[in-house]
Amino acid sequence: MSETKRGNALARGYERITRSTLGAYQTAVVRIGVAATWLGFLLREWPNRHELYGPEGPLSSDLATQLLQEDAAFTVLLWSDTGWWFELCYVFAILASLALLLGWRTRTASVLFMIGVLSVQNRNGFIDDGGDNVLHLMAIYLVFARCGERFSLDAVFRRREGRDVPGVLLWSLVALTVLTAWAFGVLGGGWLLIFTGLLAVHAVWWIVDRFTGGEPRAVCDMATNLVHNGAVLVIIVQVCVLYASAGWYKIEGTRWQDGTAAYYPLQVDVFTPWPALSDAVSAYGLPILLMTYGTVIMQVAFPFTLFNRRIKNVVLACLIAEHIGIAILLGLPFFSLAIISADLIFLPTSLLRRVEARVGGWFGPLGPRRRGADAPGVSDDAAATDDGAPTTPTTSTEALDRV
Amino acid sequence: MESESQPTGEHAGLSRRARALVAVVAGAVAAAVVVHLGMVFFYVAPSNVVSERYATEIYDYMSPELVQDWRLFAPEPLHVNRSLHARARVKTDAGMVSSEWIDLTAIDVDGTRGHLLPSHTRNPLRKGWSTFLETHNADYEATSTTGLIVATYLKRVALMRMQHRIDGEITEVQLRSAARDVPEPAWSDLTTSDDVSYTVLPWWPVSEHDFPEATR
Repeated sequence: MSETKRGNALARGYERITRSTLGAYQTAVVRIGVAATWLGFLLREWPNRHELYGPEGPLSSDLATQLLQEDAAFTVLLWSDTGWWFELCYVFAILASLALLLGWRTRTASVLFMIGVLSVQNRNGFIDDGGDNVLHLMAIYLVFARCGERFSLDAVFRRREGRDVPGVLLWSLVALTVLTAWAFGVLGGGWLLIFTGLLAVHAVWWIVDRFTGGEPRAVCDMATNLVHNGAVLVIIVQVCVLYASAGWYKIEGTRWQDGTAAYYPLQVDVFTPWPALSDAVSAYGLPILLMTYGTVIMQVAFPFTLFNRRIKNVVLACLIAEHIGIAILLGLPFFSLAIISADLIFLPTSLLRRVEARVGGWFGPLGPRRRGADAPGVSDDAAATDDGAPTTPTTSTEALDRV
Repeated sequence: MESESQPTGEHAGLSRRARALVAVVAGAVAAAVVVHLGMVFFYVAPSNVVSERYATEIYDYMSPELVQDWRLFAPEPLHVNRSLHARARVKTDAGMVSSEWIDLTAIDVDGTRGHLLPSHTRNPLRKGWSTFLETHNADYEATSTTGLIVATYLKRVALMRMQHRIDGEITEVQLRSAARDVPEPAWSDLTTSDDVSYTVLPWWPVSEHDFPEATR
């Protein structure tokens, strides 16, 4: 009896991970947070871009090339050491962030975004901080997630089957770029394989959408769900590893043990944008003790709080509040925003649904409606018929940028 | 986590072959997730029997794009105020003269004070210095290629920041770090010395190629 029960539970679990996009709201807000943080960073550093990442900066193209021979990190910035190429890539990184932020052709945008993040960060490995590290990893993980199903332009302008001319053009443009880079000998090895594979996946999706439908399409959908759900799990565990190791390594330090650790950074010149405020915060022993111990307790405890929804939400709120404090007090806004963005994977769905309802009121329907749930969904199908498009019985969800 | 319900009608009644294909994908994804998370865990965890046994495999998997380090303010928080200073040997009509020490970090402090969004430009000196120490021996000789590169990088950052304050042709440059411990908190029994401890690097030769064109 209990064995059949367990079998049923397993079957239901399998059903869920193959047929649904778990955490669709959460991956969407992580996408928005990560893209907005990186976009903000790129715009903030616009006046300093040459000094930090440019071919004529202190880390010249020559030095950066030598450095990359050490670890073979990916960057398109070194494909040419000309000034215009650098400007082009920097602007490209900005536009890719904007596209991902808005959820415009999210699956393609996420790949372009990753190229932008990796290219800029890997161009100068001497200046990145923990926030860059988070963005780097999230940029990679988001490529595998269906992070455009909510709060995105894709969800607003659901595309219809079969007549996706801009999509085909975009695909061709990317394919041509990859081909050109390969021909010039600047792209090869693992990354060539990865980009070719991603292009192939998009092509397969286009074919099953346009020509086959039915079972091949269903299999693609399920495979995509599986990959998405795997990515969600990876993001969750990654954030837990981040907090757990940040907490456990602190325990070794004498200043974390005696409860004074929070005091010191508030007295370091390059981390005190507001010295008077820092002095006020670090003036008394008890608040510093609470901050110091509180930080360690929350970071170490965080992974375990996931088993209790209510405690998890409280700790999550505290961690986010702490990072807002760090952003202002220590002058680490992009570091804090990056970590908060990753934290968003743990936001409760009920909250995000309320946000959606609120936002939806301003901008019209954001996010796909469930099949047959409401009239507009039906009228979309009707419009498709008017256009003479194939009248496959599609749902709004299927019509998303869906790979 | 809430699921987005997907249409089941179209999916229902998949053929045996389709179900097998989905199962293969499920297996592959599961394996990839387990391997990835295992690698991340053992990369981040302190050295242990597994991470030592598979050090090469773990490093090859994580490097370069998945490397991560979450020892944020740990095990000890930042507790030193460090400034990098530089001075130059300059060719003048009167012969070679040495300039005064110039505080290069002052620019970073200025760029932080009163700013809501401080720039990454405060990272090259701070992070570059710690990378420099990690990649050099006690005689300040580079122990790796990265060491050679970071030394050149530091030199170029220094020249970029000081060239407008020096008249004449710079032929050599010297860096030093001036470090002072943050005073212990008022309520603490501990005391630290208020002295500045200097770490002075050897003179480095400068050529015209060492000046970055992207100056601030």
